[in-house]
Amino acid sequence: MVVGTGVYKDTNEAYPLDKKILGKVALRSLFAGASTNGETAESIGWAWALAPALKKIHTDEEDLALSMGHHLEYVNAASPLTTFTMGVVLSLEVQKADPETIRSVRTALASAVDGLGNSLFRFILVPLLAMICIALSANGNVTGAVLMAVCSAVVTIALRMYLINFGYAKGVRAAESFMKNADALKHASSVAGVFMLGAMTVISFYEISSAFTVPAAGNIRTLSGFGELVLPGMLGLIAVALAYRLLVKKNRSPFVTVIIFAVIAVLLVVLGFAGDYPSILNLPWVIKG
Amino acid sequence: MNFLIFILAFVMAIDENTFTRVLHRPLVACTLFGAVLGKPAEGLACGVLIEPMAIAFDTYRKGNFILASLVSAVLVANGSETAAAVSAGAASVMAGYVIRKAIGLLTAVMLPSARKAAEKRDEKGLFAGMLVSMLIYGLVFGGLSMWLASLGADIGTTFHSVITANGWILSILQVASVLIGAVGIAVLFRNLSGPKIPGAFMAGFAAAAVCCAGGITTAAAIICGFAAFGISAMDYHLRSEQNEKPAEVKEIKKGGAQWW
Repeated sequence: MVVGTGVYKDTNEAYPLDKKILGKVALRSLFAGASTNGETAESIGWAWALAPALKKIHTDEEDLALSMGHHLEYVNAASPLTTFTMGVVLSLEVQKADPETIRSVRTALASAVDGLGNSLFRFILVPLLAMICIALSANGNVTGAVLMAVCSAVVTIALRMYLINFGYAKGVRAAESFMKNADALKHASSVAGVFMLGAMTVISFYEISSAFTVPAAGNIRTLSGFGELVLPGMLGLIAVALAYRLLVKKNRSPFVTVIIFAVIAVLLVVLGFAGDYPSILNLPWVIKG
Repeated sequence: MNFLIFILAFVMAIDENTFTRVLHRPLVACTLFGAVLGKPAEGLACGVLIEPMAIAFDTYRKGNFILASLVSAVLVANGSETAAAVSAGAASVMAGYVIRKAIGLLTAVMLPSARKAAEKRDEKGLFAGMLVSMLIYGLVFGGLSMWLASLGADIGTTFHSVITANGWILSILQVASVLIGAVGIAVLFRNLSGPKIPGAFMAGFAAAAVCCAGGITTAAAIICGFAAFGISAMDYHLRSEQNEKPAEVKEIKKGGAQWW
């Protein structure tokens, strides 16, 4: 059986989680981003952070293995707001919702919350704090640098602690009313999850730079980031379709699929179609410099 | 002194993804590197100048400022002008980003062991997977920083010549690291019953593509998130209504008012 697939055997609602366990999950979530990897983003850290709560919820050992397994799937958990998603997901786990529903809610909510968290922190709070600290440090005073580190640590921990309790409480209330119509909830959450997966295909692949030149009406026209101009995320869509075909239709293992993708990466870079640094070959469409 | 640089870069690389997520910012990083090199005020001056660049770079989610901060702090500590040191540092931003992406390929090696740990309900196995990933980030940046710091005044020129000569290798690692993300997405697509609702996937793809083409890459996840929850709320409402049985209509007596 594939790790993390199936349904829970014990579907009786678990005892509600106490604040101590939620606090432990929130503190562990601080390190969730440490496990960032190319394939499943922050999934290892996410599963490790949730582990104490999952152990409390699932008394059946196979259910626990299934739960830990499906939490190892692709998830964005680097944002400081991620504990809100963790709270909601744990509320569904307590209700022993169908793993597919949990998976869908996690995918949709984690991606959206990650985007919101990044925008809030990277574009509003950190720049604001940085500007204040730059002003404080202008005359060689190190207070600004210290203040920036301390303020960020305090805000991050406080926010994580608050949001996990908030997400869990709201999630329990929402889940109780939605679970009355479990089939409709399962379908609706799947729609949200798959929709966000489509969006993530564009967003996560948008970071690959591509640059090459094409001759146009006698002149050399430079198309920098051609994919971004033609259709953003097209490379991502092709890559996901290929990975799906190899994994599901051709029944290849993830390891073999990764090797095939590594070979494709070599070809794309050497032929000058991708990468932030130019290819070593002197091809006519490759920009040097 | 080089060992202290290693420790600082090690902590900053880990902190970039965890905990405060602010120690790697140029204002803090330059000050700390400057302090270790005996010139905290000069380091701080570099940090004050590079920090606005970091804010601008964040808009594109591209940039890593650990190596940039180190290069400028080492140069300024070796007697370079602040402006020259900052320029040399700023030129290292993309290299740091590409190196960071390339490490994502190495850390993916931990996934099979993490899956085995989950199968055995082994929390310690998951922790080990996370710890090793964390150490890979720390050790790569720590080691690189220690080597760079040992170059002294030649740090800028040597670093850039090495990157220029071997940039294509970094590009391969960077592109491979992003491409294998497709494997994670494909697995999730299968487990989410994606093949049954491919329309939802394509709708999400189209929404994000429109956002990115419109230049609002950073807000794309938020906009798509709202759209996803709006669509799923509508889907839930419609399906719930279908399940509800309509109320029985009583027979209307002849001549009585129409029920509508």
